[in-house]
Amino acid sequence: MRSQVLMIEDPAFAPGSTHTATVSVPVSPAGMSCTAELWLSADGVTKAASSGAVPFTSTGAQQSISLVITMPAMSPSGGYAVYIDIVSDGVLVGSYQAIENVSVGALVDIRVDRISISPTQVTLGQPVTCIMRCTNYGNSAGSRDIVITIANDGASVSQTIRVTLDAGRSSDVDIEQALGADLSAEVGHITVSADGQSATLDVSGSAAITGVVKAADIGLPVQGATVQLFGMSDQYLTDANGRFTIIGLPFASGYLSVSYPQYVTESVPFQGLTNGATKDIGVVNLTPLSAIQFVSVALPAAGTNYHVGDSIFAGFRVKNVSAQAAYVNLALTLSVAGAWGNTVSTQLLLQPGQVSDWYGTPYPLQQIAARLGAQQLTAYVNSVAVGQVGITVGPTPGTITVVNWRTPPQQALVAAGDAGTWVLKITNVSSSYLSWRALIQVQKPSGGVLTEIDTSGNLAPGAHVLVPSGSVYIKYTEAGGWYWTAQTWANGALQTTDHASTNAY
Amino acid sequence: MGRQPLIMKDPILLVGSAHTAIVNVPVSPSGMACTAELFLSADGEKTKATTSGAIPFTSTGIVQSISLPVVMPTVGGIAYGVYINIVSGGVVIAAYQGTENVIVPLVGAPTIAWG
Repeated sequence: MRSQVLMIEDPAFAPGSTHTATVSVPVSPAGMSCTAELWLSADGVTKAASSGAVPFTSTGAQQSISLVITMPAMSPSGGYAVYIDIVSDGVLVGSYQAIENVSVGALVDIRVDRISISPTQVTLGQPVTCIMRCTNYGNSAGSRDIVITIANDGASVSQTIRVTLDAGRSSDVDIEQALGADLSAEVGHITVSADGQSATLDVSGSAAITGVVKAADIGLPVQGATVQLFGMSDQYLTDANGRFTIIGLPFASGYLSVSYPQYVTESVPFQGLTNGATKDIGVVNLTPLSAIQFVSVALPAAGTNYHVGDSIFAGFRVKNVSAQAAYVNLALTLSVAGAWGNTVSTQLLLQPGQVSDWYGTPYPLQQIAARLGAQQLTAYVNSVAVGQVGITVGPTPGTITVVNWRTPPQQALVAAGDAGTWVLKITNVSSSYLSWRALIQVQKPSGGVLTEIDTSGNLAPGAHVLVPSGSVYIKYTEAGGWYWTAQTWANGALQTTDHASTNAY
Repeated sequence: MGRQPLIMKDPILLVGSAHTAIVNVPVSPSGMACTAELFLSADGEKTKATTSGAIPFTSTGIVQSISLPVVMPTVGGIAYGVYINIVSGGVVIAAYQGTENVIVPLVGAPTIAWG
């Protein structure tokens, strides 16, 4: 039986091209006359290409052997398996098969030539143009996912753009348009980079925002309502006229949180702020909590067993018992005991006397949680728990399991500058080799997404891997809510998604 | 009594594999109850890495073949010395050492880098 050998790269070669595989191997004792042969095969028997038997003398230590091989024609499905035979005196003393296969065929080689930003110095909200020039240096048309990283004074966000090009062609990609990003929406020293190419932008200045908070049930201004900018720690109180004004904002867009005791907290989006100007967002109406009557909630039967990928059905019935239109916030949270859960929520506007249902929307488990084991499904109306049921979640048969969430970040207050970690254990529970991918991202309070882990590999049946393998952590570099997401794939199909939150002050 | 040289090939045998050594040796006079043992050692016969055990035979007074089955050691990457002892009545009447060693190779896990 052949042993497995680690192949440092997952190569793809053009048909008929000649390449040198440098095999590093220890053979002992020293002084043996040996030969090494590297060969490719689609069926494990027929040699589609071979280096021939290349002689060497064992040294008893790690030694490098160069094996030159000319690639065959186009690959069969799955490519060619790579084999290495070590022979001495006619005896096969070592036989190995690489974990990865060699692909032979058309070559797509798309690279980033340069990135440019114009102008390079602007004030907050002033438009800029950011262009990435890409060229396909391969011999075939194709696509490539290019990771774009946007950094601002130490914090960075990575997103992927798929670029498709014919062989030998170049194309300009508008970064802001492709990513839906606004590079001048935040004050700072902005760096856009991909494939070792980069460009910088300096954004200066500040903006201001103002508005009035009123109680929807009585139509009067609310004095002492709390207004907070999402991602910032400072809080502001409305004056006797219900007015608030926040100055020195470093963002051109974002969200305001407006709260007052016995009223539903409102999240108010804003955008289009410009340097030196004050934007008036008008009136923010707060709905009294007492306006809403909870009628009923429908939850799954206690003890229901689900698998990753299944859907949960749950729902509410609520009624507006006041004489004014009123908002109600409904939420379902799936959580492990003692840990912060994953929430789906909605906000409904109910007219006086209106009864409304919110239910039946499927929530695939991989969309809201994929921790295995016992969990609690809790229903909230205006942040008040109105029902809870225990369920269990098992692995999807025939694929992978993701367990052992070591040191998951809890929803807890941490100091800015502290760090959090997250580790996944991915196990192949199928009966065949499969490829896996794991992605761990962190959303900053200011809205950017950091890609902390995006890695992949192969797993033998029953084998497992820890991601990350070492101690990787994220530093909370700014105050506010940090939102973690971890996703896994098996053979290209999404398997699990999990979330956690941490508040930094 | 010093060991006499034993002419043999320089074989390469795999870790844990089973092999039978055919030893052709004349022992006189005929009719003696004897045993033959073949063993491998990497430290000058201090330690027997593997042995056929004492295989009984009766001397014929002429060259006779004795089969000595041996399972190769589990430790590879070593050239083992080959030793044969012929014993009769508790007395070592002949001792030999192979002129060549048995090589039990060890090939570690390789890595591949494509250029």
